[in-house]
Amino acid sequence: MHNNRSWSRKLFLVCNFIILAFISFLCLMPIIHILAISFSSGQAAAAGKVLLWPVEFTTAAYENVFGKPEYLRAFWISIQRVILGTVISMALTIITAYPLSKDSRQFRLRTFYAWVFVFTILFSGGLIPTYTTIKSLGMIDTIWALVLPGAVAVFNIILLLNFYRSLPKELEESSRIDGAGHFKTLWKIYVPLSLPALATTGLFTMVGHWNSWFDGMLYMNHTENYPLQTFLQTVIVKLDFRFIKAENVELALKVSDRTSRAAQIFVAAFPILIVYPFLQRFFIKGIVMGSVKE
Amino acid sequence: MRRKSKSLLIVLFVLSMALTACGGTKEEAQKPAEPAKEQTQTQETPKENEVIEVSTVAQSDPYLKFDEGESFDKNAVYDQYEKDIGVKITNKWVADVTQFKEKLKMTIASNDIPDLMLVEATQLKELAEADMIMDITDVYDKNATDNTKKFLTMDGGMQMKTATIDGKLMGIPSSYNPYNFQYLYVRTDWLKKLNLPEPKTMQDVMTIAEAFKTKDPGGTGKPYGLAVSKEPFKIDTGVTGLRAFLNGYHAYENMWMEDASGNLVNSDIQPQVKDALKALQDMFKKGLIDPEFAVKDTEKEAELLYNNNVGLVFGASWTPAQLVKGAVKDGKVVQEWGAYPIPSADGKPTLNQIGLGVDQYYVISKQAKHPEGVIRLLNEWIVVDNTMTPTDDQKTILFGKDKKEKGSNYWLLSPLRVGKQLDNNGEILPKAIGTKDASILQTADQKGRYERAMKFIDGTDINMWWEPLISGPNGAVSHNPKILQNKEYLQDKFYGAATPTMVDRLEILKKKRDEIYFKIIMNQVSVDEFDKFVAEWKKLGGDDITKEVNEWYASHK
Amino acid sequence: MNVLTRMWKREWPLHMMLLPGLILVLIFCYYPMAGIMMAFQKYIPNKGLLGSPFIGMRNFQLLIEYPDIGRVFLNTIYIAVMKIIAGLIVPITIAILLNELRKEWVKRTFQTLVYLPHFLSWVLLSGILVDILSPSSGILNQVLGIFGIKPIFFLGDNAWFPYVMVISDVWKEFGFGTIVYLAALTGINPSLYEAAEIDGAGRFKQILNVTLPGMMPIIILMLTLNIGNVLNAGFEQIFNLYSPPVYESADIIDTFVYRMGVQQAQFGFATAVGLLKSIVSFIFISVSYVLAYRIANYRIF
Repeated sequence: MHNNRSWSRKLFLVCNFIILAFISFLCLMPIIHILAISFSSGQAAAAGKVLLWPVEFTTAAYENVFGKPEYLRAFWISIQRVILGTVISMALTIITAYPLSKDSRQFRLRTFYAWVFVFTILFSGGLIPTYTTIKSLGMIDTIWALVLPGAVAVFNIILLLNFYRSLPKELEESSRIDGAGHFKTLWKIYVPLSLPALATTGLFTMVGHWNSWFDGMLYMNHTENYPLQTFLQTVIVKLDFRFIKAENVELALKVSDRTSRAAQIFVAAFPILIVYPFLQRFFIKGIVMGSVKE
Repeated sequence: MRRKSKSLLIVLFVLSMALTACGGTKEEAQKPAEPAKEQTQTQETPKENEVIEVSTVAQSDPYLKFDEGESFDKNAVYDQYEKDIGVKITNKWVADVTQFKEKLKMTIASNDIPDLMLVEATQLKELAEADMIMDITDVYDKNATDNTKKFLTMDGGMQMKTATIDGKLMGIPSSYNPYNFQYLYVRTDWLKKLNLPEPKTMQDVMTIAEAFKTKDPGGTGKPYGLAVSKEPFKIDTGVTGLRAFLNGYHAYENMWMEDASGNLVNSDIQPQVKDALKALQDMFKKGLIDPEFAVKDTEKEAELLYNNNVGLVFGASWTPAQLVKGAVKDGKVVQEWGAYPIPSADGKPTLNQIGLGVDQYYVISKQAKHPEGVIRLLNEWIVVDNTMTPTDDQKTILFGKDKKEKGSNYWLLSPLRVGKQLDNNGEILPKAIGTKDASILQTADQKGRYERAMKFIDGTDINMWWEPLISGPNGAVSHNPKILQNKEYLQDKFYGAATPTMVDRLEILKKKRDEIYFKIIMNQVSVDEFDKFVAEWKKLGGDDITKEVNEWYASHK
Repeated sequence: MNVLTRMWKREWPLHMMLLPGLILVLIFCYYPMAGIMMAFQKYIPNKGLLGSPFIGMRNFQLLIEYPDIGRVFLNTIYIAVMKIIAGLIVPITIAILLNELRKEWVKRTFQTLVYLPHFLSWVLLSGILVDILSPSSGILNQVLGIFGIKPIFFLGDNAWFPYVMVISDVWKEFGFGTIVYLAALTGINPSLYEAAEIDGAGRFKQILNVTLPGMMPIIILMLTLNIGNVLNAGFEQIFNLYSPPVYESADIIDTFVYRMGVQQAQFGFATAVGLLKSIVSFIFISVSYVLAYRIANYRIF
């Protein structure tokens, strides 16, 4: 009986590994394909000859990006944006989710407040009034226009408040008995125990900030204030045939729409890809339970 | 319930009050300054020394490479304009070409437009209706030089007319040559290999397509006859489109043309379209058209051209610049292409469908303090861009501070650029290139093209392969003189603002059209479905639009 | 009064904690909501929101009178609902499977690999999908050919197009989606597994009786929030992949609004459609919120 089970268990583990390996493979293949395109000549890519290995190897598509003096500045703005945006947004998320995680007996207006926040993800005034608001606040061409409007990440708040709630009540009670106020309880008990949730929402915030380009285009009037993703939208080489000039056709032979888009993915995604494996450390099992036992 | 909605309204009202109050204070803050300026302006006799400011918005471009230390804020081109004509150019914002239109929409919607900007035709009409742009009839009349006026009315004044609303000139057409014909491009090396004649009629085209399919001269194993992409009827589709094919059957894509009685009718529902669709369906059945064309964009479909699967394609004059990606390989020409006029299905000459040669306009804000500065920019650009022998100062405007062409595309920095409404490239270039005679060249554009073609011909740059195919003795434009001479073209007769029914219904009419055209071509439905479509088109608002368009036509004849 | 002051005394730190978030939301969300008025206006930029003429329900009328509107709504809901369901089941399953992996580094590697496609754009992916799904040369049809299945024109066939959208979207996003569930899994008390083991429950039973119930709050939460997307079928993706032969099954609200906008900048029309979508989301989320509370006695937020 016991033998039988460990045998089936082994079978399960092997199958599970194979399934996941296959799925990972399906996710990896297109990435390799795109990577190969980014290192191929515009001509080869345009002819659709590239599969999983570069054809007519060249780094022209990357040179086209890195060769621009704006690249470093845009990169630096993105870094600033991610750091500033994540710090502000996470601070707000932590502090906002706490009162909302209380039940109505502890905090009468919580449900009302919760809906006040949720309402904002459902309804919006649209681009034009938002733009006018940000403009009248004088935030155009400043990093605040990228950081503040989306700082209250309602989805993350909801997520975190649900994690807070799953923490054992006794923890908070004992802390309150010790005379700690709400702020102290939040900081000393809730925050350390919700590390997995914080890592998750933190990752969402970082990826969100890193990937968004539309607001950079909208709120930055000068290209030198563009964050990386907005800047990268501008390096895609597309031939405008109405004004063909010799050197443009020349460039199109080396770099094409396809190779520049492919390179753009890697230039843009690489830094943020590193963050995830790092954050995975915080997905620690049993962190909550351990604390209760103490 | 009622009370609730009422209180909601009040909240909204208060909020909007606050919003407009915010905007209001700003406007007022600006206003007092204006009358004073206007006074000085009326007294102003053109003082050459006084520098006036014109604000605009700029498009950054991946092809524009700034010299060390220069930028959109400060560069040799702007400095030169300021020095030459006393106009200081400032940018309210700069956005990339791909994002420019989006940002412009926002600028207009938030009522924050610069003195000078480039807008779409529909925006011109909206801005005029909203009273946000200036009637520049007088400013233009007073400040435009004779040279400018002549330059912008070379086409008989048609393009200026499209910028005129209710008798007022509301913008400067961002003009270009409307005689942009389409041509048929064929692999001539394959014609030779298979011993086929050059395409003179649509029947020849079918024969060639079939031969290319059955004999597979490219040796790919997957040959097709004709390259077609997923947006064959879209106006921007320059290669792999089907407009030229329709033209060969005397059918036209979404344009307004006169019927026998002189009324305007829409080309999409004419019986000739049915003939063309029938021919395409036959080609599809025979496997002459890539069965997957419906999901491939131009770039994707063009793979078939690069890889020797297809040797027939319709396209604009610049098509060779696309074909070069497959034609030149490792410093060798591996594909030979020829350019031919669009053949006809029945012996009657094919009329090439052309646009108006203008789809964008430079408009001046109603708040602009120095509209005359814009016209000065226009005068200067026309002079600079059209001289054969630019002075040093003019070279700065074209090429930047080093005053020579080095591929950095500084011409993109000029905030107002108009092109020639007529060119005689078709007459001059094939002759000049054929006889290697540079002395007959007349424009800067011709000079550039001649030099490029020569680079290929004398073997210094094989990548210039495309230029002779456009401009050379048997190039695409060499067919133009005949087309122009015999008036073998057809221009859209309607250039007014979208009519009310158009705003509501044009989208559904286009959608239905594309759906049925595709289904017929792909042999999913019988070609007789076209008649049903015509009836539906009329019912869905087509008849109303036709009526409105004819009312407009009556008042604009 | 007395009650209120007592309440205030007890609860003021909680109010204070909400203050920064509330201020930001008021400025950047509620204040611009005045723009919703555009749905009932013919918006004219230099007249602003107050000065533009009201035209009643004209914009909504335009939407309702659109000849294909029924089809468009149906397509939207059909694709969106399938995406919501698949977008829930797949990440949960994968998260559980990942959780069963023994070696930490293997788990992390797989986790990272499946999360990669999230960073690709549909513009780029559409080109790749056309290749992979091609009936003549695509790898998928070649594989199917081995089993004697005739080539299928996935992107050009109305019978297949919606499913291609769902599957490719799930493929792109499931890895990113697993993150939340993986975080949820960390909250499950390991002693529960030990207890189940002692009771003689197999691995499968443990998943059923311990893992899933432990994830339930997050699953319900994600479901509720996703239900708000019933009218969002994914513009980027469909816009890049659809074509006239599949309009019948592929045209969704957002692509339709986009094409209308190309004809004319209709601020009011787009706002009206946006408002309608918001109201529908609001209703759906409210209903699921109430249902979750009534049935599972769980307040989602």
